[in-house]
Amino acid sequence: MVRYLYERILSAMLTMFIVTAIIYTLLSLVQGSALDVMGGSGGEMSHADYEAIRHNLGLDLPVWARYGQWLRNVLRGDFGVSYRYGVPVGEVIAQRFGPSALLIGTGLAFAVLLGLPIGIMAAHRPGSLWDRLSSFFALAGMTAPRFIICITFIYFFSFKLRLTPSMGMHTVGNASFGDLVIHLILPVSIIAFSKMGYLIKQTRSACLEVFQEDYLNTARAKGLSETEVILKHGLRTAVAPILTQAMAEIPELVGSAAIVEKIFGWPGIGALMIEAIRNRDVPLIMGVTLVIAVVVLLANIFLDIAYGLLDPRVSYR
Amino acid sequence: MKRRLRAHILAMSLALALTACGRGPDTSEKVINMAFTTAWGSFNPYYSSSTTMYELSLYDKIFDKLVFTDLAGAEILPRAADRWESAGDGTEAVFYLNQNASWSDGQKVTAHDWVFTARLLADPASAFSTRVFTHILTGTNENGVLLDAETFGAEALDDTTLKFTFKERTDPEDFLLHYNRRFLVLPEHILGSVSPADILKSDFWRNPVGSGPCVYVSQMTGSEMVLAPNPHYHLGGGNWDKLVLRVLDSSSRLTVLMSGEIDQIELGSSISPNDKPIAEANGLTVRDGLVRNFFMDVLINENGIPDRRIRQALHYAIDKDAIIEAAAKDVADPAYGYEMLNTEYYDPSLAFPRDIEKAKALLREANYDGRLYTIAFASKRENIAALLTQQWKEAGINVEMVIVDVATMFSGLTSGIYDLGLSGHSATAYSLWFEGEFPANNTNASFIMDPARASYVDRIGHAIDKEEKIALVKEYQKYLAEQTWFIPLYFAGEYWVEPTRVSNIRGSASLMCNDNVWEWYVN
Amino acid sequence: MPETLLEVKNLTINLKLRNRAEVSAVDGISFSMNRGETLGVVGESGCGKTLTASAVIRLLSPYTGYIAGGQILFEGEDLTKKTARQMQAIRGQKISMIFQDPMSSLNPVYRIETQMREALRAHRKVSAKEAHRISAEMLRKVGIPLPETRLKEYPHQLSGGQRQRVLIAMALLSNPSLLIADEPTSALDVTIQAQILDLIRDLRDETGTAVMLITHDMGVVAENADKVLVMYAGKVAEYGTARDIFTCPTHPYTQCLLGSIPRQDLDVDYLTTIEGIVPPLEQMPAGCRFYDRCPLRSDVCQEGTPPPRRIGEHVTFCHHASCVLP
Repeated sequence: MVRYLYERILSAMLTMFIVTAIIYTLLSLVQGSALDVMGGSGGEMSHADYEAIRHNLGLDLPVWARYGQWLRNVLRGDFGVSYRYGVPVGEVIAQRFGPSALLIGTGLAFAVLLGLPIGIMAAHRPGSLWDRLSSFFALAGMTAPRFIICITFIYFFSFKLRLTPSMGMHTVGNASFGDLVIHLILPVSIIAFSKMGYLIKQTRSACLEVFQEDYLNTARAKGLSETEVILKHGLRTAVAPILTQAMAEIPELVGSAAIVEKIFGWPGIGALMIEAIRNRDVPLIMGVTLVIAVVVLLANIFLDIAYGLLDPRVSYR
Repeated sequence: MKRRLRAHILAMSLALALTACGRGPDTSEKVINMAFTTAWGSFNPYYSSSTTMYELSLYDKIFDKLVFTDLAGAEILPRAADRWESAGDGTEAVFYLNQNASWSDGQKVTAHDWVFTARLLADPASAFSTRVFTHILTGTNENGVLLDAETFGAEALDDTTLKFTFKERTDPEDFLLHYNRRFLVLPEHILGSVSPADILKSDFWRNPVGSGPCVYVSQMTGSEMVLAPNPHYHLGGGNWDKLVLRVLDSSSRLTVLMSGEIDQIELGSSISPNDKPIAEANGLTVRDGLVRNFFMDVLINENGIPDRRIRQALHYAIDKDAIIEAAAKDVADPAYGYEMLNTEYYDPSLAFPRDIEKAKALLREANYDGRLYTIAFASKRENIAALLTQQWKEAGINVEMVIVDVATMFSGLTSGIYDLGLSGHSATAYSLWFEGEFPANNTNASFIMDPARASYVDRIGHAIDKEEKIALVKEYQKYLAEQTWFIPLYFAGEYWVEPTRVSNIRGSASLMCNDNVWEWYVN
Repeated sequence: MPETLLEVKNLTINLKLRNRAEVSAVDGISFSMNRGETLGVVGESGCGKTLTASAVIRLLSPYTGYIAGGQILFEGEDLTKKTARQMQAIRGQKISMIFQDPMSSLNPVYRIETQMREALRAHRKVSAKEAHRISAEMLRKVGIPLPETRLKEYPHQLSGGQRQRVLIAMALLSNPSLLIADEPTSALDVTIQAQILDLIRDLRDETGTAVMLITHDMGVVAENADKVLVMYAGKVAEYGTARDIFTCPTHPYTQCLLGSIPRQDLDVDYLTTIEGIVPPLEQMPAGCRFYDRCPLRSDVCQEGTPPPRRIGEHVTFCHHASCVLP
């Protein structure tokens, strides 16, 4: 098992190296560097000044040299300074990571807490009214464009009903938990709603397969109640593939959370990334990319291990 | 199973009960919330990855400026400077600074700080990305880089008197209208010891000390910034304890104003005419912004339409009221020159009503052969272009429409592909604001090379005496009207939402990137 | 203790078809079992024997079908009237069932000891240690060597035969009075088959558990059953003691199964196959359901269900019932 972990981490690092190299190269190809945004192209910067700043930022070196420099710094723990905010990248990300984790974590938790039971019940009674209603609900969650749902929810709950605030993570001067909760409700619902759709569908199909299995009948014949049979025998076996698929959606979750963050003014790294790209803030973009890559790769490793623990037929020897 | 369910419900109720605990809102603190649709960058006014109005608004709060401008520049009020005057033979400007100006660490602001800042901007080794205005001071080259420290045009006559010496005769008010926005004073007693090449790396920018109305408290980078009043600010302070700048998504503008989460949105809490009824239905007061500084005009390529009479015919054929109705509802005035209506340069005698007959007469005189002209414009101006084309047709002029992006329109007008164009501008009270509105490689509006024009611009630019200037400007305006190298259409303003919780906010001043936060009062 | 353990009277099970229609997949069958007895239920696939077995232990899936009529009297009480809770107490405790495919009848993610402990705890409180002891004892009884090791293992580590033994052990943990075995050897290879059947027989002798043995193999029935119930297309064809059935099969279907019907036109002396297939549920003939394939059919057979012809406990449902010696 240790050897397996070791191999996985090594391959993860290789992946990150490749990913960051590709992204860095793509960034260098994008029209308009940070310097141009500063006003260097046809703006009021004199040519001499433009060149001086270009040299200071290291933009006069070829791409691979710049990337090498960046990589060297990262390995030393120096993630660079944001072009735009003038603050070390590590600091900015550290500040903004927490809110994202809170939002995504809570959203995912609710998606699982609600989606799993709905999917199980739908699989238990295939073709029933409940099954069809939950299918419809799941489809709505999966296909509805997030941007539109955000705006609609804000319109109803913040504007019409005045139930929740429409932006931000907290009211200044109010550090209570209740204030955080009321700000969380709307964005979390939207994230949970869309993820729930996938989860319901996946749970339903995984369970449908498992519910056909003979060992469920054995369990019933032993005298267990139907609930016990479904949960202890049905779900327990179905959970492994559901878990796999759920975890595989984490990268998508990070991306779509960015939209929710932007619209709600939620100070997370998704919104940070959007701004960084707009400003051609290369150090920040690379920093956020690194963080996201690490999170996704760790999630994958964790998932594989969890799968092994859940299903004894899979061995990592 | 049932037991587990009950335990879960109990746990959740407990959690919910906890939400009632925790420190509630500190109601004794007066907080003002301001929102921006784009985040700011760093605190450095002279090294920004994009000097947008949002950033200028932020610098304005931490650092002080010479004056406070409002009404698109029609009003200039003292700020760091009490009064100013032209001196020498018009090549000097003297600013008498307020004696009480102080940095947030208690030290007094002196004229030496202002000179230090100008000197820093001109320094050849400066790591800043802009030099703002040093190129118009003596002792510098055309890029504003210092050539000769002896003749450098910034000088402290004493602790509270600042003198600038310009290369050419310059009206101090013109100087202020041009550069006040971007000229903020830095502390010599802190930054004086840092070498200009290393100035960017200084920790000063993480926790700046300024002489502006606010001090920095904390921020969530790119999302929220908390400021407190500067207790030493010489113009006093409002009754608020915290000023919070927040970044919001543009789709939420109306919602946050209506819910009261935000008191003021960047640049005057403006809303579109479509949103006005909704806002009013929800208890907000919407009023006319009163500052009509959005100037809309038709550009003409002189080589495409060389005959002045045809150009004049185009002007006479236009029904400006109809255009205003379609494009700006009831917050616009028809324009006949590019001077704003609330300035002393405005000449009402230039106005005339639509006259199709006169247009037709002019066309006959010019022997207009019915040829087709093209008008190029960006897609958001389509309704205006459509109306114009229709109105011109009524007079017998044939024009076809082409939708392009702004850059293409300008280059097309220069190269002669298009004959007419449509563009919008933000005007100020500066008498020659329109002359600088075009891409750097075309110094004349509408790409005209008439020497008479250059002569007017030169003379007006160097006029120091007010009366003289006004007379010159009016003469120039008449000349422009006769030549009709461009056709002014209207000056538009916006609807603004009146803040309810906070009083004394000068929304129009926001447009000039300064806010009178020291006068803001929470009701 | 009274002798009669199970009495099934006129049991009818309806299936729901796709077009909302219903058919009687099992139509009015009756039989009984005494304590310690082995009843062999024989018939082709689809004749309703598994449905009947599932019905007795009330494990019919509501999506498949339901009991439309009749009574299932177990120890004097009608199981069709019991609530779900009551049935849970009976299943595994008084009536146990083992299924056809041992490869998929054990949950792959739980250890053997966990699954056996679960079977015990469904009906009484036992400590983990106690459960372990009882389970090991039971595994030894069903002939699994090194039961302590086996308990710690997962199902995929055991062979098919071993798994079936485990399932049998699990079924007998609480000493049920009735064990229903639905084709317990069909999925195993021949050598193992004999072992398992011997095991079941030995256990029955030792514990006195009655066994309802569902099978399609007449040979198995001959070796193991005390009574035989021959089913065809959801109805009883013939029912009686094993001795009666094998010495004197009276229903043509039974005779075909035993491969010994004298044909008037042909003189054959090898086992024959019965041509044709069981008619689909929706198209059951109104009269005797075996009509299409019966070598002895005549017009009278088409007029309604053939009446039962009894000699003591031996019952046949055929107009042409006549004893034909094999």
